[in-house]
Amino acid sequence: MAAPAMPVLEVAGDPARLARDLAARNIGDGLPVVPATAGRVAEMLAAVDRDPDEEIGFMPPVQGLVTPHYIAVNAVLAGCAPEHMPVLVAASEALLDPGFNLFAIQPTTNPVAPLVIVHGPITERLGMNAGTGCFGPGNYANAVIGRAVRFIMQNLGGGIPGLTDHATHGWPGKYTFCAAENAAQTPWAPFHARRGLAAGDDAVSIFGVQAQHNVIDVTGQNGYEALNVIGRGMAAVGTNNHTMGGEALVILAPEQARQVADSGLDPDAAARILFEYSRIDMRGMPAPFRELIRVRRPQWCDEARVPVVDRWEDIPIIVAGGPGIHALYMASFGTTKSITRRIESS
Amino acid sequence: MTATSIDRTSAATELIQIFDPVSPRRSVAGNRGAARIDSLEGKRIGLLHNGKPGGEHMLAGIRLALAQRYPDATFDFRFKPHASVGANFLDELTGVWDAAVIAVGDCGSCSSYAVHDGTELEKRGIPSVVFVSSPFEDMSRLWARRLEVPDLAILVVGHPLAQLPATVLADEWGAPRTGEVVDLLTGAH
Repeated sequence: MAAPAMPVLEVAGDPARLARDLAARNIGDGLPVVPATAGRVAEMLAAVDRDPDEEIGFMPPVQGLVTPHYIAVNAVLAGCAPEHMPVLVAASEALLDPGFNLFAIQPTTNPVAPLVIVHGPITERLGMNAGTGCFGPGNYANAVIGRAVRFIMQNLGGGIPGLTDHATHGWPGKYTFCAAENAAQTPWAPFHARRGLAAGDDAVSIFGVQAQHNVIDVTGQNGYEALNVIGRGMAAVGTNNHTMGGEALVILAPEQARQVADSGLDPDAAARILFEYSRIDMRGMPAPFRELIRVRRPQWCDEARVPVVDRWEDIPIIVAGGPGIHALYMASFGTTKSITRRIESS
Repeated sequence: MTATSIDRTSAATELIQIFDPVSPRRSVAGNRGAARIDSLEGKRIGLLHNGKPGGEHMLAGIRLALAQRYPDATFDFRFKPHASVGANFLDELTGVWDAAVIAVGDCGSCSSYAVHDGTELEKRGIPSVVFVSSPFEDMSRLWARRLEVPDLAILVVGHPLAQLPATVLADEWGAPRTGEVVDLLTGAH
């Protein structure tokens, strides 16, 4: 490496030893990494039309500097290729949005991780998986983009597991959690277009959510029946949605989305139905727990029908996945708003 | 295995240089904390419950003990329903509260925002004390430094606490810490 101007680390060249060394320095996730050499970082930076030292912001909670250079270093480390860099710049900007609330999401005991969903033509160019197993292993872009976002949160934002990331258990989604929207099988406008961007734009969304709760509906004859079951499946006790409100993300499988659309329902209409069915019967629960929710969500005085969110607009619906009649409900951190940003390509 | 094994000795000891992936932190201005007050006599004491169960009882115990010690002090109890966001009424308190007590941070996000609220009150000229449970002490002190009130008064309590009876939290966890609260607000420590 030719005398770089930016700070460097002298580390073991052996991959296993390097992984161990970096973990000991609270860098990365414990898995092997790609060394962030000057050449690899330069290639990464060449993929965006940004000054490497541009001050994009300071990431909570430690207020670490965010620049294209540091995003690129972490991208290389996570195993990314240069074509992933524009996604990571947009995702980093999204993470910095105060509404996402990284100052709480990073240190919380709650098992919350940013789910990264990529939208638009770029998903095809990157070869991302929007279909079968899209949240699981096996796709390069899905895996490394999600991993790089975690590295950025950890190495720039300072969310160090056990020190400043106090997740009681954590969960595997904190290693990587990224997929593409299945726009080809979405019977409506793609999600980012519903948020005001052009359908042909490339975009990335982040959601502060916990693990997926799968709802399978094998009997539904139409969208109304499917949403009835999914909505009831969302009525989970003890999530942050239950105790705080906030957004609750729903992922529909393509055939389920088709079923809903064939019933004449668009995403807003579907969210209204989910809102009505995702009610929790508080009767019989311990008095202090009922009191907590009465204080935090005072507008819901019918204890037999407390919804998981305060407004139907707080149920974003995205289509992803492959064949199968499964839906996913992901409770959010509660005091967080999902953020969608356009991806600027160089 | 001997015939096919690879000599990893040199690879295992080779050192390489990589860019440091950890970025520098934003420089902080130093100490933007408030001046201490001379005494709590005749002062208006703010009690900020951050919404975490148990905090309100600790504050009740402190209030009772302070009222006994300073009969002419007055108290203003404020509450935010969600502990993982900043209180949205802090601007209203400038020039109204003479000092503040905040309870209780007993998780990652609520401790962070309890410290946030405490530092924001300090920046508004209101000396403040923040109660945080022991697992979150180090992190809270780090946040205080990052939020430019490095000497923020943090009082550490045991953990867990939310399941304890109200009387225990008031009489055994809150009231006995009143002397420390006074010292930290007046600079007598």
